[in-house]
Amino acid sequence: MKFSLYILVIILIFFTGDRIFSHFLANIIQSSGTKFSTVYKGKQENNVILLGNSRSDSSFCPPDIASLTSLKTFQLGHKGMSTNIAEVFWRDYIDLNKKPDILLMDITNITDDDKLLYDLKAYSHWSDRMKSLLKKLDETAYYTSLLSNLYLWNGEVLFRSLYFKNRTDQKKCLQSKRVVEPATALNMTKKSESEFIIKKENLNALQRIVKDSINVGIKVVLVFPPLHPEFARNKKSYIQSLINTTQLKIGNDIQILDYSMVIQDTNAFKDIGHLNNFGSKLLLNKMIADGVFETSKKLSSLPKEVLRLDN
Amino acid sequence: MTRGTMRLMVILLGSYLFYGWWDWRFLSLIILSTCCNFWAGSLISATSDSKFRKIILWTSIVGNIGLLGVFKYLNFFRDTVIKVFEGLGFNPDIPTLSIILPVGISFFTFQALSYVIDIYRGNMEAEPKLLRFAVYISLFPQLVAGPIVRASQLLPELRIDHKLDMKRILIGIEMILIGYFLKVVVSDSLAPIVDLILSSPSHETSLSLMVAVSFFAFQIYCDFNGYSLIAIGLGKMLGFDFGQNFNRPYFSASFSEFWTRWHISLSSWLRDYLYIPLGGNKHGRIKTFRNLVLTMLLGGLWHGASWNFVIWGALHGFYLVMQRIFSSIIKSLKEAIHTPLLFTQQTSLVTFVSVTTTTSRFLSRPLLILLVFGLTCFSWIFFRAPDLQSSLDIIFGIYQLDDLSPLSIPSKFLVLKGVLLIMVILSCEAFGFWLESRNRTFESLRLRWLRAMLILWSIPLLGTFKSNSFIYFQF
Repeated sequence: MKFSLYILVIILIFFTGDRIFSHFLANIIQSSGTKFSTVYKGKQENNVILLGNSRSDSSFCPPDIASLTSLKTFQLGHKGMSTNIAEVFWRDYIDLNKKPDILLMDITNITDDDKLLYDLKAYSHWSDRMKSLLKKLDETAYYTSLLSNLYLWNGEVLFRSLYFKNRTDQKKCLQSKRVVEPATALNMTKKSESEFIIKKENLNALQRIVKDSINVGIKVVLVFPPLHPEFARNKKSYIQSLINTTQLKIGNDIQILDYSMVIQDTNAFKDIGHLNNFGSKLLLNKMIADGVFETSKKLSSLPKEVLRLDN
Repeated sequence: MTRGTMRLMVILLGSYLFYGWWDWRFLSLIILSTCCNFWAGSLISATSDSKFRKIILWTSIVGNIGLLGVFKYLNFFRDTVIKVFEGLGFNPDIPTLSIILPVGISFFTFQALSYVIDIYRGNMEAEPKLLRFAVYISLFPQLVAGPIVRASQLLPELRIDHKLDMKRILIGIEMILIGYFLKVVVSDSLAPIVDLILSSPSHETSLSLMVAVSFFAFQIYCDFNGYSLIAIGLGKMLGFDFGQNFNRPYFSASFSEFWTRWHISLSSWLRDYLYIPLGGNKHGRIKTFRNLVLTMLLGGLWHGASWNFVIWGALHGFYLVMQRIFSSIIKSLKEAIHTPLLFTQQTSLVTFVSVTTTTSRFLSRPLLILLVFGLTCFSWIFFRAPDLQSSLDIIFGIYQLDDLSPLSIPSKFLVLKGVLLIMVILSCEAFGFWLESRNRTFESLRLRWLRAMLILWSIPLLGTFKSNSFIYFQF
């Protein structure tokens, strides 16, 4: 009898503490300067939304775009984020914030799986869409998070939020200075098994994003971002196949911009798949030249590294 | 049938079910090992003919080691022989046997050996009941990954008809909880970083590799200590005391101290059944060094059929030998100088080891702890890497010191989580060390309840629940 009472008391204390600590952690995460917390704070007014995986994060730098185009730009891309998950954040952004003018999206996330859901499940606290996706893709995680609210915060999100407590993560692209060594790039290219296999649900999600964005008057720009020249040459057929398949799915209203080999300067890459800040400036230059953005500044006043044009 | 016998039968059936769940075919192996060793122990005990006793003893040793040799080392020996012959210009065609390594074979074989040897030495009497001996060999909490429990310790406990003891059950639950925390929260949180960085060491920076190696030191410690605590806690609930298997090893100020704190059941087994029979430190310096190196080499080989484990063992043998050499040099210097004063004006080596003032004693221990930890981490490189080439890639990568920028570390937030968890572990262990130094124990019931609740909350918040098996299951 005494033992049963002990067990009951422990369970009660556990669940009480679980709810109290969870509430406390929810406040920390909501008040942080991370991109997703910013979405759920609402009332954001941005002209350009950037969406995709780590390639979006490294290829498109919001402060650079804003300084050259005077367009308020917001990075919603996140490393490893599939289109399936990106759709949730995109729709929640539209619901809670002012509709942007441009959606600039890196399409390589149609090859990503949904394992990031484990980390991003934290946002199901604020998003019914995320909650439904979690229930659909990972029932165990869904029901565990109902039982223990603390489980919802299990992942990188909590530590990211603590780090970005009093600062925004929109400027971190400016710190990306690393340059991949040529020998390392060659080695990584040889060892890379990446085949850009498209996930069907991602392709469907992309189609929905594009269609629904156009319907509400948002200009959609789809891009295959630059890859290291060695890597891009090695994966040329896969890249073309991915672009063709995606183009077929979304129709001809929007042409996908193939920038996979547009930057040949190897100093622009921090690894074989990602640009550094210098590289993102070169890409921005290219996108301005292609009319993706209009710049309010005269060409002569642009920074030196932005003036260089690669093929 | 007495209540005690029924209890043992239930435990035995449960243990065999547990073992057979993995692969029912290997039940025959553990039953065969049980019967043969029981029979050997009975024969040795029953006769006073020293020659006959020796024959039975060596038959048992050869049989047990042979069993281990066939299942664990046959392909390793085959590969080594082929490499040697290839080096001499021959191409022998020796077939590879497809052998599955039975779970726990290294552990229950050593337990069986200790039983037979202890009977031969007269340290204990043979167990008259096969049932009790079978339970000793196959007891499920410590069957697959230790601790290696001595027959002289566990068999007497199996003779006691334990009654349900709530205090023991609560202590057992507490140990299981701490063990589960160490495994799921700490070890499994460090594992992804270690795996990510060490999967391609030649692509990583020096700082990343240092982080990965240090993290591995804590990953393996928390993984194995976690398992041991769960096993010991389960045993406690059943009424058995297995003894401690880890005692704050990374607070050791020497390698001899390290081996009294790390995997205590194995290190004491190697000491009692290998090092001491070889002569220990009784036959002069050179033989002592030989015995230390041999013991650690075989200890390394016990972990796995790979030259990397042999190198790991050899390194620890080397460390123990060097420690003895340095200790004897310092001792000679102190005797020669014959003064109790601090030797700051003389060589830095003497200053480092002088213990005649409180200040120098206070300073030297932390530095020695760091030194021992650093050298242990170096040896872990060989333990963790899949082959020699990978080990060399890691070492070369670290010593290049090419990029020490924190920005070069991948998955920074997971690394931050890992660092915080390691700090928690070290803080708790430092507190335990401080209590130990004052002959006190962590007895406050309220604090223990608080600790248990904090662990319960931290498991869903910080635990990693991808299925990572315990590292020592592979041994």
